[in-house]
Amino acid sequence: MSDARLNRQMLAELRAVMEDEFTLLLETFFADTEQRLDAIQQGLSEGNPEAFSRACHSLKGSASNLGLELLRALCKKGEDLGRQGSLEGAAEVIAQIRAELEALAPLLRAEMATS
Amino acid sequence: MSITTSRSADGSELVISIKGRFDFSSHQAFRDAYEGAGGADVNYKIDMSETTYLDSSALGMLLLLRDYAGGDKAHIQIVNCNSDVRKILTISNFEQLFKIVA
Amino acid sequence: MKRESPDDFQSEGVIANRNLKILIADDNLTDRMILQTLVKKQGHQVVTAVDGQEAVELFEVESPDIVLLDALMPRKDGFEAARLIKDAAGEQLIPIIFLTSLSDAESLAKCLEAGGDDFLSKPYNPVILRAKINAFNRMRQMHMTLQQQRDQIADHNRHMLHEQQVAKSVFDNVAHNGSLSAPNIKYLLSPLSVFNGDVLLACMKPSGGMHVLLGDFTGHGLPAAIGAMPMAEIFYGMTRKGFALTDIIREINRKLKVILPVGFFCCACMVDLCLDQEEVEIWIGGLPEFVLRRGSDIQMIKSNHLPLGILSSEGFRTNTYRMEMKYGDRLYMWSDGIIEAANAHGDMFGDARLMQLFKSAPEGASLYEKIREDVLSFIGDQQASDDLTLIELTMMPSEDLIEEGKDNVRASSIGPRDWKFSYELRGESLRDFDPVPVALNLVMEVPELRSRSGEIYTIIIELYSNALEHGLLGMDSAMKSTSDGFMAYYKLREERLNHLEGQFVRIQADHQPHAGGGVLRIQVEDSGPGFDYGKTDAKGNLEDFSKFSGRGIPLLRKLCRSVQYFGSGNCVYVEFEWFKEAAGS
Repeated sequence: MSDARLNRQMLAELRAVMEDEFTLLLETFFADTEQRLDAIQQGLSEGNPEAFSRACHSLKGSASNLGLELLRALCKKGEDLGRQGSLEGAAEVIAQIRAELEALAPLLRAEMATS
Repeated sequence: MSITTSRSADGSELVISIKGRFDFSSHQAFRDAYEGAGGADVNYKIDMSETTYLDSSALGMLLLLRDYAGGDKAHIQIVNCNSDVRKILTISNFEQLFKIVA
Repeated sequence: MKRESPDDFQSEGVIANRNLKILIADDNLTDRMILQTLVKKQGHQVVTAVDGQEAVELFEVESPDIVLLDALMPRKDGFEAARLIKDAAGEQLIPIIFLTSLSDAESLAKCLEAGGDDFLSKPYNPVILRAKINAFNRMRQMHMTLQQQRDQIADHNRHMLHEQQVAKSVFDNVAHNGSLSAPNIKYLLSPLSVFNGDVLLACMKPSGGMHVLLGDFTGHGLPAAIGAMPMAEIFYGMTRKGFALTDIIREINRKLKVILPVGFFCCACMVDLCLDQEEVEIWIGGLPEFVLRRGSDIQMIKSNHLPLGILSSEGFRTNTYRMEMKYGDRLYMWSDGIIEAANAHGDMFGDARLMQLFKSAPEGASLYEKIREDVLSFIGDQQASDDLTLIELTMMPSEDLIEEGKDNVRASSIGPRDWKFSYELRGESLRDFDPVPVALNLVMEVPELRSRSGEIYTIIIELYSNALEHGLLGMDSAMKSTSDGFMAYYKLREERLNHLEGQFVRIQADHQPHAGGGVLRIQVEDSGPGFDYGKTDAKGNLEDFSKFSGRGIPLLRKLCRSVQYFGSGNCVYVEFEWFKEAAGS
């Protein structure tokens, strides 16, 4: 059921809890994630490790709540990096997070379709 | 303050020993010491050899014991009082109600 | 009756947790949606905020029961919001649970320092969420119960203090309407609580002497006051009616025995100051020994009775000390609070210090101020652990006392003026009953005689004492001329009284008004052998009577317009005439 990318059991439980709002939840996640990505990017471009870390932390929360295991791990990597006061390798982490989100999009769209 | 009790082998006498100050803080412990002892059928001995002080509420507690032990028919001895304790018992004329043995 | 099944408890538990209002603050929309749905599904009402600032504002408006706060938020983070919310909550317990996946110890400690009570980590687990909300709700309810109880206790305490103040003013009216302000009394009564365990009462007797009662009830506050009320009533009531010390103390003991629970009692001393006779009579039970100071001579008076309220009337003894007490002699009484007054080191003032004061004082001086100052300066700033009560009574002629008591016997102008009665005491009644108060009360029904109660009391008591002590008991007053004889006299009197049988004393009184006032005629007859009154009659001069000194006849002659003896001398007849006072005087 589960793979490294998506904890399907968790998603199923969430679907049961949210009922009719499950689709809305995922759409909210997509919309919200765009803002988080902007904030992460901004942290990097302003050279502010703390803001970068905080934005990663926030996205990590959602990822963990939706059972998006790989995304959560990448966010944590960014969060830890920023907390140590460094932005070295931050651009690479952002790239990895974007790639993971692109990979997740069709999977989550499929989940929405089945509801 | 501590209160300990012991009973003679045949159960006819209850000895209650009071250590330290005998005042209102001993109220519950003193009651516990004699309640359930058998009322008027038992002889009571209050051992005050280690009692340092007695106040008026302690006198009240002795009267409660006397009441429990049958009032005028009660057999209660107060023994081994130091001079301060003895003085308070004398002022109050408690020898009219209790057998006080130095 | 409703039977409660385990299901009922279950549902009650759910009801108790339902309808909680829970504030959720998280800037992350996805997470907020999930948590909001979970909490709603568990039956609670949800209010949401997008950041710390909004959380604080919503808290003020919505008054939620529990707050769930994300730690990192824009505008105002969770730490700052938690602090402000705890401040605003004041005495209420508002549990704050931080929503965080923070894992480093420092951040977690920061949450707790800001006032957080617990953490909930992401991803949210519905089972843990429910358990935490329930646990904090229980804590919240417990806190509210405690606060309600605390407020109730505070309310009760306020209420009780108020009641005590009201009760105290009633008590003061009863206890302090006597003669405590008389010039021969100095006293110190320090209230340890609103109510003092010590009671001090003083009242003038109809005959002009004075009764004083010092009582020390076990305990303080209301229990002490409850006993003090009837004590004061009996003391004042009986003293004003002319009852003797022993009758009054017996009646107080009887009353206290009835009303006080076992273990509660009253150490007491009652004093009868016979001002004209320069005598004092003292009953003392359970109080520390007292001092009678005659010049520089110190006499100790020791307690020889159980305190009041312990013995039933059958076992109660009323034997008293009777002593000479000349004008200027002083009697000192105190409660154990004086001796046990402790200083900062816990040392007691003690007997020895007190005795030293008596021994070193100049002859005849008042020691009241000195003792008071010494005790108070000894204890310094310490709070006295018991009531400090000290009294100094000085013997002085009755003319020197302002009889404030008279205000309380304010005469009404209504009462019978034309009557006659006869009252005869026989057999055992003579041994233990004093008919004088009864007779006096009847005579005092004549309104105009009330202001003359002292004189009338003296007439009746002299006539009755003569009949009993000399007529029936054959006592010789000459015995009383020395201190030793004084004691012997009263001892012999009691002995003879106990062997009295088959005798009587008859008191007859007759009052008739006339235009200017009235005449009270009293005849007292006893069954004794009488005495040789010789040729004396109402016209005889004082010297004729002088050989019967001790029978109080000169005094009677002074008070009455005529004194006559009849029969074998066992019958005496007196006439007391009174005149209306001029109008306006």
